[in-house]
Amino acid sequence: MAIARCCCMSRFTRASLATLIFLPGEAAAHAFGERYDLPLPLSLWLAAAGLAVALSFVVFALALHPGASYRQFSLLRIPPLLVGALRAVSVGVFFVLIAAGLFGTQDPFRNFAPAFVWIAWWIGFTYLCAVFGDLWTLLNPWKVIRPKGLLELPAAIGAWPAVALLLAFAWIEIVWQGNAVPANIAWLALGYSLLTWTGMLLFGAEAWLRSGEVFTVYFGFIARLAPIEVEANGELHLRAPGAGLLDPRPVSTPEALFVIVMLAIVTFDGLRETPLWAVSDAHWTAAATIGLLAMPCMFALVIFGVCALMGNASPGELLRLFVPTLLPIALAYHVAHYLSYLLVAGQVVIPLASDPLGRGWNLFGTAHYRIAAGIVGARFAWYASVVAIVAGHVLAMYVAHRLALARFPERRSARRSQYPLAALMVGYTMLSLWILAQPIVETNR
Amino acid sequence: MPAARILAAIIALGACLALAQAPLHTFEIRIAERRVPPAQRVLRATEGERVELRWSTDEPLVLHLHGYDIEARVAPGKPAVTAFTARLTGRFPVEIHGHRAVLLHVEIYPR
Repeated sequence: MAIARCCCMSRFTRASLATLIFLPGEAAAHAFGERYDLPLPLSLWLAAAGLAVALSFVVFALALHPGASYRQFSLLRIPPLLVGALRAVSVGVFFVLIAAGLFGTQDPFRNFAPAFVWIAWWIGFTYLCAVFGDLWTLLNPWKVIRPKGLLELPAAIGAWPAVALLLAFAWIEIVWQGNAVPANIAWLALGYSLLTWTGMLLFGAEAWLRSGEVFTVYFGFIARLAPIEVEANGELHLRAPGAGLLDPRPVSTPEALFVIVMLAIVTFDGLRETPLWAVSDAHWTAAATIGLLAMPCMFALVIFGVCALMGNASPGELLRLFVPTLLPIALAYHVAHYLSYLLVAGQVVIPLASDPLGRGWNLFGTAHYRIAAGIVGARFAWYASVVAIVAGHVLAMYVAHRLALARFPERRSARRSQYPLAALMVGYTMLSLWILAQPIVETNR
Repeated sequence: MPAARILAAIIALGACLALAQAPLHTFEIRIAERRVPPAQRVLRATEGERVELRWSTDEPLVLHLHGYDIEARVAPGKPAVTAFTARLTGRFPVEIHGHRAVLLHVEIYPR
């Protein structure tokens, strides 16, 4: 959830400042990318914090049964023809993106590429996968070729390339001032295509998708929360939300780190909008780079420490088993942070779809759509945040509890293992709420 | 009949308030070197209020209030007013046109 943006929009603002490409557009174009969030009021903060803690005890008191398997119901199978058609649309959008970036206007506010990539896809598609399952496995445009590979991917490499690429992607999203320039987005997409296809050709499509295609790994983890399980062949199964986190097999070390980076970059993105993060423009890039790298290290250390307190198993194994259970809180905080932004600023995709290159076209008749800033208000944003965070917190506790019962043979040691983890989750939830209660600070003032 | 006059004045005042419906919230904002005093970087109002931002400046500027999408042209000796009813809640920047610099934020809190 690198979810990003000092206000994505002020990310855009900063970018356009940096490149001096602002063209006075129409008033409607102005609303692009602005965040209109008010800090969470103290009363709601207290209510949310109290609810999270109280419901934690409810989870503890629940008589849970061991067993990490879950029921699922097969829904239907998307016909292969439809899967093919969906992927063709996805590839088509990818081409539009490249064309808009290379040949369209370089004003980020009037070009399809920045709004689509940073708002509709990176934020919106994350939520789609959290609700409808791993749609990326169906839509991934790079999967149009499926080479067998020339070499065996060394086991030691695992998902490390994905970890490195996620950090790089987060740096581009959060730190890099040129991230909204359409041409930069197009060149990055082309470069990433080259990298992905090279990896696929060398090591085989399936191996590289698991170890080096960062978005496959990312959306795959997000989709573990979804009540729908999507298989690559288009089969759909219904299951309880979050059931995908009940996999009793620990993830690999790089995958655990991948999840920790996911958690850390969401938190870092929120933190840098708070008054705590008062960095002058001159030092912004260096400070943000250091912060972006330091945050996952701090998270990893804290989580490792917690796992060391959990009981008679190696901390490393417990970390690999339990780290994915933190995902519901991270996603909840992500929703709290970005949902209203997505609903308001995301509307900019509607006019831009009709005029992706900024040439005055009106392909779908939506080019003159004006953003409705009033679609959600402060109250909606506040209550959505509180509901999301409390629900995410409870789901995380519940899943961790179930996993502990499967991992530790005795009920007592299972329960004891959960005290440190519950403390960690309460702390993480409080941190996320605290960030929401802070006034947003413009770093580019 | 001072008492009658006072009574009449009170009734008139009450009528005026009733006609105005929403309370009026005005801010006098003096822009100097494209900045406002630190205390005015964030202006707070409540949903439903009528808000007036009364601008004065030391150089000609076009100001744009996001979300509400209202523009105001202000110049030295020619003050301008951005007036609106606070229907949208949230945090809305006022930008100086063509500079992409945020002058201040208007925060409208729910009732």
